[in-house]
Order: sequence, then C-alpha cells, then structure tokens
Amino acid sequence: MRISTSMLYNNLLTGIRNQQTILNDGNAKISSGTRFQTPAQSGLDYKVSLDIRHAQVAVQSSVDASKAVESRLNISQTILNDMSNIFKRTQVLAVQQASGQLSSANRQVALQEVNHLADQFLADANQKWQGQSLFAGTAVDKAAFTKDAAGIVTYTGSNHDRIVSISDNQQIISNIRGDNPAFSAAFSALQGFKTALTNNDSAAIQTSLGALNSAGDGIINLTSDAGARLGAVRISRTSFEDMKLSLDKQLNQHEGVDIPAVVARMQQSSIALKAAYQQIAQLKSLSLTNFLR
Amino acid sequence: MIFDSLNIAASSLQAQQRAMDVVSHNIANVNTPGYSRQTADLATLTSEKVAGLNLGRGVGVMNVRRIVDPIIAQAQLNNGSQLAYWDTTHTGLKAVENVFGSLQSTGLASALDGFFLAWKQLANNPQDHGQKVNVRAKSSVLVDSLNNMKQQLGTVQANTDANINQSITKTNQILDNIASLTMQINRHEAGNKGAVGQANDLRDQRDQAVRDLTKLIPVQQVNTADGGLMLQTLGGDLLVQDGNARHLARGAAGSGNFSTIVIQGSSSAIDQSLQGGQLGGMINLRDNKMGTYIQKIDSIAANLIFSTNQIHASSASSTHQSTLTSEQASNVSLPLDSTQQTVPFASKIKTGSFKLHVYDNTVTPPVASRTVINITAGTTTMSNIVTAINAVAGVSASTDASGHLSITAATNHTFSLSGDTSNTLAAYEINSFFHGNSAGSLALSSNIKSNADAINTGQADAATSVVQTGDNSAALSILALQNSAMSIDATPSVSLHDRTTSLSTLYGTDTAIALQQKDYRTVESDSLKSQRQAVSGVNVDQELVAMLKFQRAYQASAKVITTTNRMLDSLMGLIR
Repeated sequence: MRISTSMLYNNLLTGIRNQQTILNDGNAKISSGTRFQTPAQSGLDYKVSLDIRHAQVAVQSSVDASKAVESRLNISQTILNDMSNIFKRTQVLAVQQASGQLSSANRQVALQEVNHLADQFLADANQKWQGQSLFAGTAVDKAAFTKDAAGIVTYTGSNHDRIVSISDNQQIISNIRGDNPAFSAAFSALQGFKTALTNNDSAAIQTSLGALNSAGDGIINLTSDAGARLGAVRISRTSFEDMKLSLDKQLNQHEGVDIPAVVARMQQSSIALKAAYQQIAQLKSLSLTNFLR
Repeated sequence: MIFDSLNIAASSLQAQQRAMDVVSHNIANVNTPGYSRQTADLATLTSEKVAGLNLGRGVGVMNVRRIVDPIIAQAQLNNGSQLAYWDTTHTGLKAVENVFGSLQSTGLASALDGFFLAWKQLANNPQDHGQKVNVRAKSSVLVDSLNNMKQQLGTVQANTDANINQSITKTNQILDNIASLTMQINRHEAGNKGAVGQANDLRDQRDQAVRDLTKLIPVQQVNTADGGLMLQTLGGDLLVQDGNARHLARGAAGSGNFSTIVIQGSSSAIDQSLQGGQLGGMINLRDNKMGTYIQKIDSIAANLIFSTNQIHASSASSTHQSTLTSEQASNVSLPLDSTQQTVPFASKIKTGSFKLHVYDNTVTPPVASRTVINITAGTTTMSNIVTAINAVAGVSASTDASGHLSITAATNHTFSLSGDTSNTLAAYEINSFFHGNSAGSLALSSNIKSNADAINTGQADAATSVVQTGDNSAALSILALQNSAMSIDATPSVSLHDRTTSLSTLYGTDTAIALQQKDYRTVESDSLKSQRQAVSGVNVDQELVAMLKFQRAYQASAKVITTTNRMLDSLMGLIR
C-alpha cells in the first residue's frame, strides 16, 4: 500500500484520540466508583439500577411501615396489659367480697376501689397515643368510649380498622378496635360487680365473679392477639431488613466498578499514548528533506 | 543535424521543467483538503524518418493527470452521509442526557418513587397534617420533573427544527457552488479530448464540495464524460444538473406541526428521502427521537393525572367542603362527553353516577343527606348537573361564563363527593388532585396548591356519609397505582414505574445505537480516508525523489546543450 505523508500523522492522531477516550472514561469510572452513570452509557444497566433503587425505596418504606404498626400494637399491648391488671385486682376483690362474712360497710369500701378501677379501665380504653385514640378504629380524633349518666359505657369509635400498607400485597391491621366484644363484656362485668357491691348482694357478687373471670380472659385474649400480631410484624420487618441488605449488596455489585481492571487498562492506554507522542516527535526527523542539502 | 540534438535537449528542458512544476504543485498542496496528487505524463515526441531511420524528436508533457479512484470516491460519499447522520443523532441525544437523570440523581424515577412514598406515609398516618404537606411537596417535585422534561425536550426539538433551516441554507450554498464549479470546468475543458487537459484542481474542488454536500444530505451522483455532473436526492429529485442548482426550502406543516422540506417551487415533501446526512439526522432527532420521548412522558403524565384524579375526585376528608370549582371549562349545553368539549378526558365519561353528601352542621354530630347525581353518556350536560345539584337542599351549583362548575354549600352546611362511576368528576377536575392532561400542562390542583389539607385520604361512608379522620382508603388506592398496570390512552397497559424505566432504557438504547453507528462510520471513514490518501495523497518523500529525478534529467539535458554547443564550436572552428 502506498503511504502518503498525511496518513502517517492521521493514523497517530486517531490513536491518540482513542487512547485519550479510554483515559477519560477510566477517570470518570474511578471518580464515580460506578461502571456507568447515565442511561446513555448503558441503557439496560441503568434500568436495572432504577429497578433495584425502586425496590430499595419500597423495602425501606415497608420497614418504616412495620415500625409504625409495631409501635401502635406495642402501645396497645401495654394498655391492654394494664387493663388486664385492673381485672386481676377486680377479680381478687370479687373473691374477697363474695364472702358471706363481710358487712355492707366493708363492701362500700371495696366499691370505692372498684369505682377507681372502673374509671382507670375506661381511661385506658380511651387512651390516646400521639394524639390518636388507640381503640376508636379510624375515628382517631374521637374518644373510643363514652359513659352516660347511668354509668353505661358505649363504643363511639368507627367500625373500620386502621390499615397500614406494608408492601404492594401486604396490608396489616395496626389497631385493636373498641367494638370487640371483650371490651363490652369487660365494661358490663365491671358495672355488674359495682351494682352487686352497691346492693350488698352476695349472690350477685358471686355471679359477677364469673362474669369478671370471663371478661378478664377476653382482655387477656386481646392482649395475646396484639402480642401475636406484634410478633408477626417483627418477623416481617426482619425479613424486609434482610431484603434491604441484599438489595444494597446487589446494587453495589451491579453498579460498582472493577477498579484494578480499569487502572490496568488506563496504564496500558497511557503507555500507548506516550508511544504515539514520541512517534509524532520522531516523524519530522524521518523525512527526506532532512537529508537533502 | 547537430541542431536536432539542441532541439531534443530543449524539449527535455521544457518537459522536466513542467514536470517539476507538477511536483512543486503537489508539495504545495500536501495539506490541502480534497487535493488529489497529480502526475505529469511524459511521452516521446513524434519521431521523424531521416534517411530510412526513425529518429526521436525528444520528450513532451502530454497530460497532467490527477490520481483518483472513483470507487473509493463513491464509498466516501455514502460514508460521509451516514457518518453525519449518526453524528448529528448522537450529538443531539447526548445534549438531552441530563433530562433522563444519572445515578447521582435519577430524575423522574426518583420523583415518582418519592411521590408514592409520600402517599404511603400519608396512608399510614392519614390524620397527620405534616404528611399532607409532604405529599404536596413530593407531588410538586414530580410535577416539576415532568414539566422540565417536557420543556427541555421541546426546546431541543424546536432548536433542532431551527437548525434545519441553517442546514438548508448551507446546502443551497453548496449546491450553487457545485453548479458554478461545473460551469468553470466546462469552460476550462472546452475543446479538450477525453481525459487530456482536465481541469484537475476545479474537479478536486467540486469533488470536495459534493463530499461536503453529502454530509448535509444524501445524494446520487452521475458524472458525464464532458465534465458535467448531475446530483439527485435518494428519492430521484434533481438537485444539480451541470450549471443549474435547485434549492431546498421549507414546505407545509408535516409531522409534529413542523414544516416539511421541499425542492423550491415544488410542494412535495422530500423528508422521506433524507435518510442520511446532517439534515436527515436532525429530522430523525426531531421527529423520531424527541417526538417519541415527548409522547412517552405525555403518556406517563396523562395516566398519572387521570388515574389519581379518578380516586381523589371520589374521596373526602373529615373537614368536608364548603365550595368546589371545576378546573376544566365546559360547553354547558353540550353532552359532557361530546367530542366538541375541549376537556381532555371528556371521552372517558360514561353512564354512571356520583353521590353528593350534604352535612347540616347546625347540630352535633352533623346530620347528613345523600343524593345520587346520575350521568348518561351522550345526554347529560353540565346544565343538567347544575339543575340536579340545585335540587339538593343545603347546596347550590352554577357555571361561570367559561363553563366552570361551582358547587357551594349553604350557611352552616358542608358537602363531600363520593363514588363517581361516570368519571365526570375526574374529567372536569372537580375535587381533583392534578390539573392538566400532559407533561407540559401538568400541575397540582389549585385547591391543593393553596391548602395541603385539601388532600383527601378517606371516603364518605355510603350509608352514613361520615368521613373518619383516620380513614386512609383513598390514600391506599392512590398508593396502589404505583405498580398497577394502567393505560388511559392507546398505549400498552404497564405501570408508571415501568413506563419511566422503559423511557430511560429507550433513550439509553437509542444513544448506544447512535454511538455504535457513529463509531462504526468513523472507523469506516478513517479507513476510506486512508485508502484515498494511499491513492490520491501526496507523499513528500516520493515527490522529493521525483524532484531529484527531474532535476537530474534537466541537468543532463543542459549538459547535452553545452556539449552540442562545443560540438558546434568545433565545427565552426573548422571553417575559420
């Protein structure tokens, strides 16, 4: 092949351009720590990155939502425990007051304590957390129960649960609703016991003891239910946290650059670039014009 | 006879001198773009028969020839056109790289994730005012993101269209130049026979001009033996014939309302035959690339707007409404779904109903009443709706001069809307979340812009009309849109996330193909340039060697003359 003078320069110039492109790409990869930065550099890889990041956001939001459910159920469980303790004390009092040896005066003293316990039970049932009624369903701005002049307690919350979206296909009920029969049974049993004490009616106290035992069991069952749900949410949250770690790793593997490989390639490229520069400097002395006098 | 030697030597002096001129011309043009090296064709002069002998009469320069390879020249035309096409496409695509985000800031994808994450957080705390403010803020980010994308892509599209005009002007200048050069070539070569006496430098200039032209538009070239030239578009439209050039111009509106390209004086668009060159690349960039991206982000916006509004328009908050105004104007006497309505989503309206809940707040808790407002597709007008609402106690309705519906509660009354199965509320943007129908017109509803509490999370109970503060049913439904397949236009039904990522993938793939083609054509171009240089390029060393050859031949011829002169002196000495 015949070689023209400009071919010699053009070929070296093309080589220099190519090596500079390699060095520039390498610098961008090393400085960013990623194989690519934009969809223009690798459309499909970029899409995979967006998908992983989308999943990361979803998983993180699932962890956060699980924590919100845990928090609500945890406080509900604490309050239910307190309510359960109230019932235990009431049951003890009922056992004591069922004795035929006690006078009316004794029972009026016990009634004072039962009234306090019933008020505490109502206060627990209307407990708010972060300004929201715990047991009123979606009517979070309202008291769950109201007591009328006759001392009858009625549920005034909503009949809808507070649903928390954990993920696309997982929604969890984050509350214990006050219209659960265990609450009405509890209020009813307390009211019955108070009436029996007021009337100094040993037989009725005996009957109340049964109702209190049954209602107490109901509150314990609700506490257990909250506990069981709490346990399930914790397991679910742990699983999302594991998933989050896995996604972090996946993203790092997908986007991360193989720095030694890039450096080796850049090293190779800079040697070629130096050689090209040297060759260009040498070309001028390799002309016949330098030998003609 | 001795004089013959002098004449022969003189012819050599002249021929070597001319050959040296050619060498000098080659060296002078070693760096001239498009220059083809030339050679002096030396040939013996016609011999003479003297005394039965054929005696040579010396040497002459018969022709000065430029060295070109027509096959390489043709390949360069095709390559130049394709290289310019892909270079223009790639450069244009790279210019909008920031529109599609980067790993540092993933743009629309992260804005969409942020929007739905905010809805999730609100759904899990619907009573929290702060979460509503967060939803409004994240929605604004999404709106800005889509608005900016549309605006930036639209600007590139408009700039590309403006650049087409500049390229047309440049093309017309080159066409004129080619016609002018052809005329000059014809004048220079008039009377010459065949390839002898060709206007080499003018032909080089014309070849270079044609190469420059193919960088702008792809052409077919037909050369004639007498130096003439005909250039056509790939569709066969004549551009240059000998000394006549036909100019390109802008024609009537075509794809995307941009003017087509025509041959001046004709009305037929030639856009389809511009499948190469810078002009072809710009048309591809404007219509196929930017046009498609804009269409896709408009589709993302339209699906987001209508799907969100469908849910939000039928939802409510526990504070209820005292007044609501539609954000889309109507022709009050036409059916709501009439094609003559200017409302973008009017065609989505179907036979159905929505429920109007009116609350009398003079008592606690408020007393609520419920009225079903029926809509029959093709029949019900906005006037009918006004009449139906005015028949409900505690509220009134009216339309303004431009046809915007307003619903207003009476004193001590409020209202809410629910269960719209007709899509009327969403289409006319009554109680809506978004306003608009495309990425460019997308905005938050003016109600929500001014008051984050206008964001609804729940629904009025169908039986009691009560809206609980902690009701998150509407928020959960909007959240479910994130990964749900949807299509309110003719596009395939896919989720918003998939639409966004596939847009980035499409852009990435387009750019990768453009880069790959550009690189391929660049390598091809370098190779063809080398091949052309191998044939037509000037090698200074080669020219210097030729120079030495001619110099030596000149010196030898001069020596012949001095020797012959001495011989003549000797002869003249005999006479003295």
